[in-house]
Amino acid sequence: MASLSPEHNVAVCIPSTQQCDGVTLYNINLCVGGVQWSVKQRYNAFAELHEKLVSNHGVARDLLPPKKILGNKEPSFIEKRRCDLELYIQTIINFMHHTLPRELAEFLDFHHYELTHLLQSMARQFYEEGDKVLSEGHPVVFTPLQLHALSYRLKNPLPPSVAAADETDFSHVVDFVTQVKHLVIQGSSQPFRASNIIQNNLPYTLNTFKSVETLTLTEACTAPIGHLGAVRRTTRTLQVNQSGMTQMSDILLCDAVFQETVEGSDPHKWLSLTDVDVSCNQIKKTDDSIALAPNIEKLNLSCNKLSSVESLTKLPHLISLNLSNNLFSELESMHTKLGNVVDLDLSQNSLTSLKGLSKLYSLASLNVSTNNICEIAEVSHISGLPCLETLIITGNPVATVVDYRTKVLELFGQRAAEVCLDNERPTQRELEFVAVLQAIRASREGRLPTLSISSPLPVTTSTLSFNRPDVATAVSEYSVTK
Amino acid sequence: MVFSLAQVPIEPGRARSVPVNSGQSRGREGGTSTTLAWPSLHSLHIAILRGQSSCHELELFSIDSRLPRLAYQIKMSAGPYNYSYIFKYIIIGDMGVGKSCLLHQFTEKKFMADCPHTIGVEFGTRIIEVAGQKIKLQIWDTAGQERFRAVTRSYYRGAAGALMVYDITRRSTYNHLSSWLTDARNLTNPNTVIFLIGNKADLDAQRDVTYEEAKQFAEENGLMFVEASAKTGENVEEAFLETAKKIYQNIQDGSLDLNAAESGVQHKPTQPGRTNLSNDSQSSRDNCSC
Ligand SMILES: Nc1nc2c(ncn2[C@@H]2O[C@H](COP(=O)(O)OP(=O)(O)O)[C@@H](O)[C@H]2O)c(=O)[nH]1
Ligand SMILES: [Mg+2]
Repeated sequence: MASLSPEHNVAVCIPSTQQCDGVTLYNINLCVGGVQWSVKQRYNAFAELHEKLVSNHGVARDLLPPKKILGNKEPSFIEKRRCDLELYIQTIINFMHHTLPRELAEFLDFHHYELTHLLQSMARQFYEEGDKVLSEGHPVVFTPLQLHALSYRLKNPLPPSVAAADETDFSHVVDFVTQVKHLVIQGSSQPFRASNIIQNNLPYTLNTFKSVETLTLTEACTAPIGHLGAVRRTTRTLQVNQSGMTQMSDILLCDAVFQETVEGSDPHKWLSLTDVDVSCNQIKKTDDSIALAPNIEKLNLSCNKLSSVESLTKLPHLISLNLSNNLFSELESMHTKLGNVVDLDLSQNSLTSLKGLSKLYSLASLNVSTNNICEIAEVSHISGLPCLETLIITGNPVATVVDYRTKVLELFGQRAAEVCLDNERPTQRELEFVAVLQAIRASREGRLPTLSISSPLPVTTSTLSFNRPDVATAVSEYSVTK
Repeated sequence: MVFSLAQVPIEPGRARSVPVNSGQSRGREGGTSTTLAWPSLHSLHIAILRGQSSCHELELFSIDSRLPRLAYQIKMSAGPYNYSYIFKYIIIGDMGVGKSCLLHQFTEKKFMADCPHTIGVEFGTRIIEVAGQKIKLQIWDTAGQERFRAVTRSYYRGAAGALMVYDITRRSTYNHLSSWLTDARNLTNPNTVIFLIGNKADLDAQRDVTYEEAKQFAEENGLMFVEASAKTGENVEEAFLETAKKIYQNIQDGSLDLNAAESGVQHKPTQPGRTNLSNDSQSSRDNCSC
């Protein structure tokens, strides 16, 4: 990585120019220890830089190629000036690359790409704004490059030639970092700005972070994380999205030498973790490493590649599980796999049956919208669940069946009025209708109709209901399906 | 909020606009949404800081648009964000003398018996009060082993205080003091306050270094000195606080120049009564001649 040190030379050249809004920009290319980047500057910026270098650092005034007012758009002139400016910047760099004053470093974007100057500009930011940001408690976004710089500095001596002004002291960086509660790591697999740095390839550790409660990785790989330090112990909410994870251990054991779970008193436990969102990854199976976070209450696995779930019984506190947008086509005895989940989202899968949910007695809310459920009868597998109150089936073929709502509600028997179907409570009219259907079913099955659910219903059900065409269809259809 | 500000402060005397390469916006909201509270508390120094160095050219890479940039307020009048000075300390001495335990005892008020070995450096902070002034101590705890020396030496620079620790039950740690002192003198500035701590005073029965000889060593070298115990907490506060008092005295009597490079001290003046950053940063922009 680009870090100023005696063994790293700074190579600079100006290979080309470009026109932009009537201004000539000189493309400056830099290379420090394998990191390359480019900066575009106009002549005036060179002149301003030069002014500062002359007055602050004793650079000779006549070093800069002179100004020219007229004819400065001539290609031959521009070419000559390009050569002269290249010579100028090479001379300056030769002269000052060890001490690299701030004016020059920023002119050449060292503070974006080179670790020492990057850390200094971070220190300055945190010194000036850090307390305010922390006191407001907002999430703080770090890039892998910044984290890499931080880890690098902790392991390597500061180059002795670097000027140390107090507001650029590394202490301010670490002071800030140790206090961050809401850490966001925003990764990228694209080249960083105008450089050849791929941030997601840079290794870093998180052990300077002592107070992280929420950790969010977005488009950031988990593999480069070398050490989690206290983060594993303090994090309550974990979010890893668009990071290409294929299994939970990618993050939960990201810094372990062996990515295997050790039973019992594993030092890799995430004991504070209650809320996990690993949506939008490439997870194919739920592996055993989940047991490292035994206190998870909420788990979001949506937008992954799951077709089954395992190991989730290791989460005795799991209440809410989101499996939407995965590859589930079949559910098998989910009660043996999910423990006591209360809120389950299976929307946007390819389910045809709800049979596997029939014994998931803890379920209070179920979303199976946008699947491939065709038969009303499928609902009978879950209509016996004693706590189920919220059910979303919309977006399935079954929802286009005539009188779908009443037919679904009817299956809930006495509890029909308590069920919120597709985000709507049953209307009075629906309940009356449901009562009729239930009465018919009861009489067909040779039982006495009980009409307790909906009080305003007249006793002479059959007479009344056959006056209503909708009920008539319902009943005839019912007979057909029988 | 995305915290990615590129700042180019310009010395007031020489107000000129510095071109900053504009960063491409790479902002992304980090999940948690935030509601800005409008707290009633008075404060603080950040506001003042900005007001003071009024010539700032701010470039915001990416600030979440839902957060009104100019409507910031600082919530606390007490707590971790209210202090008027920052002093940087280092703790040095042989491995195993109890440096990390002293730091832990001072910052957490607890003894950590099974303290892990320090790899390179550790860091801790605490806000203390000296003469009515709140001072934040930024403390670097260094690894004593020779193999980390190249890294730990980086942290001497700009230290306002150096705590030099030996173990009263191990003579060798005392014998090495002169080499630690040489390092400290060479790598810090002449005003750095060096405080000698004879740690593990609770183990008096195993004592290997007398109080008197250490006291004499301290006097000969112009060091402040106590025997302390990271285990019982005895004299731990005193060592850190006396160092701060001495530094503060040096500031007061002018022997420590705050503006000197690597003084290890930063002044962050607070002005109670100024509560709202919105007016502040607005006016600081308006007044800005750059
Ligand atoms: N009895 C006693 N033991 C101490 C004291 N301070 C530290 N220790 C022990 O000394 C060992 C080394 O302490 P540590 O802080 O890691 O030393 P460091 O290498 O200087 O950071 C640990 O086992 C501590 O428990 C003390 O004041 N009294
Ligand atoms: Mg230690």
